[in-house]
Amino acid sequence: MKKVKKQNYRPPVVAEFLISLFLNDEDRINRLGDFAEIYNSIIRKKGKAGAWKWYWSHVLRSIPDLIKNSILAGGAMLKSYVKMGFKNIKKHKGYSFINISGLAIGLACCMMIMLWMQDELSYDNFQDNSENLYRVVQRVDHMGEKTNLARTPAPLAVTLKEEFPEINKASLYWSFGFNFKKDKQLIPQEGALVNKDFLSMFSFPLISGNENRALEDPNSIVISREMANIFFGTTNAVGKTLFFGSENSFKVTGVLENIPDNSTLKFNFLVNIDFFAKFGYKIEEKWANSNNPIYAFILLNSNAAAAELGKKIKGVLAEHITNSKDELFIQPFSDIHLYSGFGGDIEGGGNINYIYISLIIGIFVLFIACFNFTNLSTAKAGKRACEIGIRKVSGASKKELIVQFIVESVALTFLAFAAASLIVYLILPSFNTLSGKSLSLDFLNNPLLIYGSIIITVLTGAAAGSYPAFILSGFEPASVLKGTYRTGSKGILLRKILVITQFSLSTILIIGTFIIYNQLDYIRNKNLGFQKENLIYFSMNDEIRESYEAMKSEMLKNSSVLNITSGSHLLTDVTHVMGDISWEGKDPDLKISINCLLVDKDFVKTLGMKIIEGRDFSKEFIGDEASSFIINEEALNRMGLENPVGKTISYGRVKGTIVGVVKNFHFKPLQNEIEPMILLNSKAEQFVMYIRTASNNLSETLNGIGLVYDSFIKDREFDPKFVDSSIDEMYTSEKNVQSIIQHFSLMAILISCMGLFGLASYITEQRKREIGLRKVCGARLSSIVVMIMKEFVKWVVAANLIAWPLAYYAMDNWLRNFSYRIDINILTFFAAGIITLVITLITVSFQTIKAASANPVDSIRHE
Amino acid sequence: MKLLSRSEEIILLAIWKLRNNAYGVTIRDLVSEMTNNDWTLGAVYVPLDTLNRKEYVRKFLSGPTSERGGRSKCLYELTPEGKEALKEIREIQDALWHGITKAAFD
Repeated sequence: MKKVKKQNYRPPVVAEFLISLFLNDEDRINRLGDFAEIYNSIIRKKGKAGAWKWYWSHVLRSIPDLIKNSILAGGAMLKSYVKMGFKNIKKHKGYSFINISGLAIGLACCMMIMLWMQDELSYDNFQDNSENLYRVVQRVDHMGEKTNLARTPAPLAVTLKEEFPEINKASLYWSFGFNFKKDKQLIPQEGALVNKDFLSMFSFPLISGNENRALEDPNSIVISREMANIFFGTTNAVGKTLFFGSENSFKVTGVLENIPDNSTLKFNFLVNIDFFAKFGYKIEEKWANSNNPIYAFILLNSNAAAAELGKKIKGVLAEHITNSKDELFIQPFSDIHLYSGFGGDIEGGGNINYIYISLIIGIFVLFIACFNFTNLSTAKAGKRACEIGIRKVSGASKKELIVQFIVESVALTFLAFAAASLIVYLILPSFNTLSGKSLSLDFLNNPLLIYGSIIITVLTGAAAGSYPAFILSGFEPASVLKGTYRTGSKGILLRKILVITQFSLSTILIIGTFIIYNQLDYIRNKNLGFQKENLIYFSMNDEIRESYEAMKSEMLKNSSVLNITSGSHLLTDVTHVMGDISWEGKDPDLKISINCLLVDKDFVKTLGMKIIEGRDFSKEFIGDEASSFIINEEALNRMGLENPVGKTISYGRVKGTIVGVVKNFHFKPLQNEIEPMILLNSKAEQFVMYIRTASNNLSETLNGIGLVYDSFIKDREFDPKFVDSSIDEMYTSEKNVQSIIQHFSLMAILISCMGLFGLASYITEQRKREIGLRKVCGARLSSIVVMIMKEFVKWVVAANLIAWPLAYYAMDNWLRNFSYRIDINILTFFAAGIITLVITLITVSFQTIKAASANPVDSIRHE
Repeated sequence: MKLLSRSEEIILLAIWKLRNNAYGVTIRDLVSEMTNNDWTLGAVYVPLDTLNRKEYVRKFLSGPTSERGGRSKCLYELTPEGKEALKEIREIQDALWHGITKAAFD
């Protein structure tokens, strides 16, 4: 039979090309053949046109399924890589653990920084009107020098609203505290005095009461949920009365929903400032700049006019204050939290620079963690060379190996992520206490957190793993199995630089920790010029003042009560009293403002202060009552008097004589210089009672005092506080800084150790043959160990040399915040250096000893 | 153990019936005929590759063929595990349909 050669027609090229894109390498030729076969059988029946039509339609219809096929295939492969990855991780448990720990710490750091940044950036984002809300700020001209002052005069807000139609609503905000009464107890609360527009400008919703009308009546008060619960046991408090002082009260007209944590303005109650009108407070007269925390907020009709308005209000102060050269400008409300830093600003403000810094730190920490990871992986590459060689010989492609190693890194990173989440979860409570925030690891409600974390984890894993992946997959099977493969020596310089950097950072942090600790210690123990131990105090109301003398003599009958006195202020809180003073022979051009404490005659004695010239107040001198002054050393200096005792001075409306000079004592936190101060013996304005007790049997003594107190005072509970604890509390923010730095130091040291460990592994692997050879030539174990250690010691020295000047600069700057500070001691630097050295030696010793004691035969065998 | 999907079952049976001649084109023709539906090649490859991954079928090369210009075709055959899977799905099918006769559909 004659052989008929079947003619093979080629299917349409374009369609063929298209379908081949979706077929994988292995099956492509065969499957294209399938398509071609059918094409050919159709062409015989329907001709070319029909076959073309069929082919194209078949191709197009097959594509979706082929895509699905690729995905399924990819997924199956991924699953097998992941399984293999975890198997490998288990196989090298030790190194995997170190790697995971290092990454976990780095990731934990990043997560905390992310949470913190998210919180800071979210401040005040719940204010619905924030687009049109602004604050009015002063630019103060103080003898030619201009500074920004966030505080403004009380009448400013309302005045601006009247004068400028662009301003829709305006309110002042005066941080204020009251001691409200509950039965016989006094419970202090922090809140604010505002104008009636306040609630309608800001988004602080009320759970009961009307925002627009709640503050219309000057006697009304709007309170928080917690306050309602504290004072009335229910949040249904509207219409109830809240008492304070001896006979004053407010009517509750609204209860506030809880104020979110990310609010710049935080308050427990709001009161209309017009309330004080009935006490003779004329707000329209109060244009002079006081030290009071008053801020002015305005709501514009639309923010289009903001810039114009800014120009228009510039000179408003000059219109109301004679000779004022101070100017006004406006600041968007949403900028306040991060972009302020003005003088006298609201507490709890942040700083945009901290955000940038923490972002940089976060990236840096992550980078270091990745780098250590890469280091460790490549260092151990040699160990896996055998496994890889075999796999390649049995047909694994380079691409497959790369993917497998990257998948392995990513798997490791996810394990690290889980560990990191655990770390953050455990640390967050103490971090919150330190920073005063309430961050939470809320994956469910925080999509940014979960997506951000996953992305970072995958990227980190891929990035950190890609270098080792390429290295590992590049091993040539032949040279590996023969044992002649040598790990590359490029990039060692980069590694060295990074390890040294990590160590410098740790050293800086260690030095910082020491110095901060010393400074805080110094502050806490510094002689304040008076004795703060065993000194109790409590505030006085009218009833107590009336019974003062009688109660005092009764209490003194107790032998453990050493002295009792009273004063106009709590000693550490003398911040609001500045008045004008003049004396005979005073230079009329000399401007001097002076703090004044009105005290009882036993003040100096009770507080344990020292009189250095003249005498103390005493009941022997009748004139002492209300016309005798004692000045402090600083006042003496400023006044420039030669023989102060006997000179007359007048302060405000009081004219009297100086009877003595007291040694300087601190009445403000130690960040401040001691200012001039005078003590005036007076019965007026006594608000605080001080009792000095003996140091033993404190609780018994307090009980005794309490009994006497209760016998005199019916309307107020005995609530003694300790002067030394109150003083200690002033330094909480410094203590927090100390704590945070300590924790960071620890973390930095841990990360550096991991880095060092990785590098040590790497180096000892590198020099395995050299060590082997030396041993064969007779070197002793110890000399080899010393040889390797010497390298590391060199680095530690380098790191320290870099760190010391930087640490000095940073600490010097920080210490400048304190008027009273320690000197930086050079021993601190040496101590830090020794610590880093010891840590290095310990970390590295394991590796070096293992390497030095390896059998030289194994090391140089495969030659 | 996961059960065979419908398409996987169909492809496996077709391969079994095709004996030594089971490859893309023939499988597609047979299943299209059996199910009275025009399958695309793509639709055949998906369950085919899955079955291959699960090791229910095995690929092998035929000898060189003239149609493909001397290259060999890629044929598929059932593995013992594949047969087991079919047996299992058949038993389940019987158990499920037990007691329901054709008459019940009227």
